[in-house]
Amino acid sequence: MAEGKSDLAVITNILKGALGIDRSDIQYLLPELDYDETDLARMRVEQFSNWTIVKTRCEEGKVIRRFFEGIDDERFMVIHIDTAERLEIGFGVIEPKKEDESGYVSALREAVVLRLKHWLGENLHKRTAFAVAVEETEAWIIPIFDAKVSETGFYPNPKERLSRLMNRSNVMSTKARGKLFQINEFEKFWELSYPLRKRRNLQECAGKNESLKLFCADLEKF
Amino acid sequence: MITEINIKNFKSIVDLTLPLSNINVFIGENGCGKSNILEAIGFASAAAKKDLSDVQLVSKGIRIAKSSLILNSFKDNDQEISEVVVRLVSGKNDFGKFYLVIKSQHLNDVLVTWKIKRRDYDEYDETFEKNLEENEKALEEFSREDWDQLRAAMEEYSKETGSQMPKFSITNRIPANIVEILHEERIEKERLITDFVIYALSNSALRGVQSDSLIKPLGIFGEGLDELIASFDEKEREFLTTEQMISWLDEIIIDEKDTLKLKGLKPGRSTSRLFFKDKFMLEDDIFSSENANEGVLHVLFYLSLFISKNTPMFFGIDNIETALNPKLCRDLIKKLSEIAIKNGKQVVITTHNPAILDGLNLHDDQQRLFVVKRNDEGHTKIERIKLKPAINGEQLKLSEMWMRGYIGGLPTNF
Repeated sequence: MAEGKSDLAVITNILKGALGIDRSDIQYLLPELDYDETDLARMRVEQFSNWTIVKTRCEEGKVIRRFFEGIDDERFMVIHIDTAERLEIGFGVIEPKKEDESGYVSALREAVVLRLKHWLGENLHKRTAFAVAVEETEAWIIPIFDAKVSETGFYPNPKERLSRLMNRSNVMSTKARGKLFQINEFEKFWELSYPLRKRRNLQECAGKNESLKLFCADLEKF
Repeated sequence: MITEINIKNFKSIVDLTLPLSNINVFIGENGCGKSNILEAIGFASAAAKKDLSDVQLVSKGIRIAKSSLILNSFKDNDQEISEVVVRLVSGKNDFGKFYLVIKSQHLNDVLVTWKIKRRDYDEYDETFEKNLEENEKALEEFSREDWDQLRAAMEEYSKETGSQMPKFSITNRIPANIVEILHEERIEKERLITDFVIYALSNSALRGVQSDSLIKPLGIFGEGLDELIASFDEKEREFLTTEQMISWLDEIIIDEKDTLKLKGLKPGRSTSRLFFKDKFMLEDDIFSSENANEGVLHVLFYLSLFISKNTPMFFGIDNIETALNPKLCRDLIKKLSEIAIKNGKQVVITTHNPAILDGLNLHDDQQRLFVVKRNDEGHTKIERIKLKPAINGEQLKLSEMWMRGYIGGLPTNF
């Protein structure tokens, strides 16, 4: 359960790299599938693709209960959220102090996880992992394209940073870039984060992003 | 575009008026008369071609039957029904009205032929064009109303063909090719109805194993898909693969010289030169349309039908959902609606798959949903669903509303 399709694609590849889970074994609980095109025509993208929808679904619990109910396979749920919009009114995440750089990312992640658990309440299932990206999922894949980076969790705008990287000719050819523009958001981020399907690459990226490392650690319980 | 159709006395239809737009989807229980609506339009199309032979009717996808079954044969008929009437309206004008009667004397004759009793069709345009040709001076005496009509016709033509609107007004000179332009417009208008056919895809035709339809460029069962794709320019071909409705599809290949057959890549009976590359498979292991799954062939057929300038502008599709995954049904109808509106195509579609409804945006007047029913006497009637019914406290998709019985169109033999 994620904010957007790009996040789902990145998490898909992480699940392969961390646990060897195949894409075909993942169920994507896309909020937009709850609606038809008549509904969607009158909704803003943010209404079915952002932090708010994750919050609503955690609080309502219907989707989560349906996911776990009556199924006897060893399924687990990943709930994703970016921390980028945490200051929006109503989310109530306690902001850690950025001055304490070494613990900032983990403290922020912990604060968001606490908030997620609060929203979930009784709906919190023990087989749940939290994919909290500080600040955005793009920060998890920046190290794939720039080996020299240190902690990418400190980047204030990872989306923009990744976009600038993509425009560098030594990072991506014009042809490859052109091809990315032709495919949808999920497939685009599937391609971009494809190296994470290899455990070694995933570990390297996790070494450069604390929140990715913590997500991978959370997955180890499965 | 045809904005309204009135059908009288055809099969289960006694008197039915349909307000149409670009995308028109008909749902309803089996045998309620959905396909009859499409066939009645096909009948009018054949009449516009002045050819009501069985060959013509069958080639348009109409199920021919003995005459007593084509005309209404309801138990409660007060008088003998002797003619089928189909009236087509375009905007504020009558596009054509066709009165069709049986040539033979006895309704129970096994072999019957139909004839056109009356045909109010395209008279205005012919007179208008004739006047222009015969007396150019008439233009100088045009009234304000005549000019408005001429300008409206030119604008419609420019819109339909994408050609530039010639600059002219009362004070300007008449464009030199005005007669030619108007003639082309008339041909285009005629083709709108004469080209109408009902597509009902079959796997064997799509695979190039069987070829029953002679309609070009695409046969009504799916014939000729490879030829049509071969005629596409690079941009059109690219469009077919970048739509990503088929997750494994990497490339579409047209083997123009049919050399791949000699390499053992088409060992079956298929005559299709269409091949596919699967992104998970080895580079050289491409496969023919005979080996491809039905879904990809159906999707490619529909996308090609809607983007091509050489396929009919107005057509029917019977059971569009055949061979398609429900999510694909939703994505497909959404995409086809976009293309139809962009390219000015108009289509009447029947379906039994609720997922098709989820791909429609009913807030867009160019996408319309109709529920087809039969009344107590068995007559076909329709109801347009303009908005989603309000269900207290429940957020339901149209597919769910249909399945729960909120919009009708389900069998009532509980």
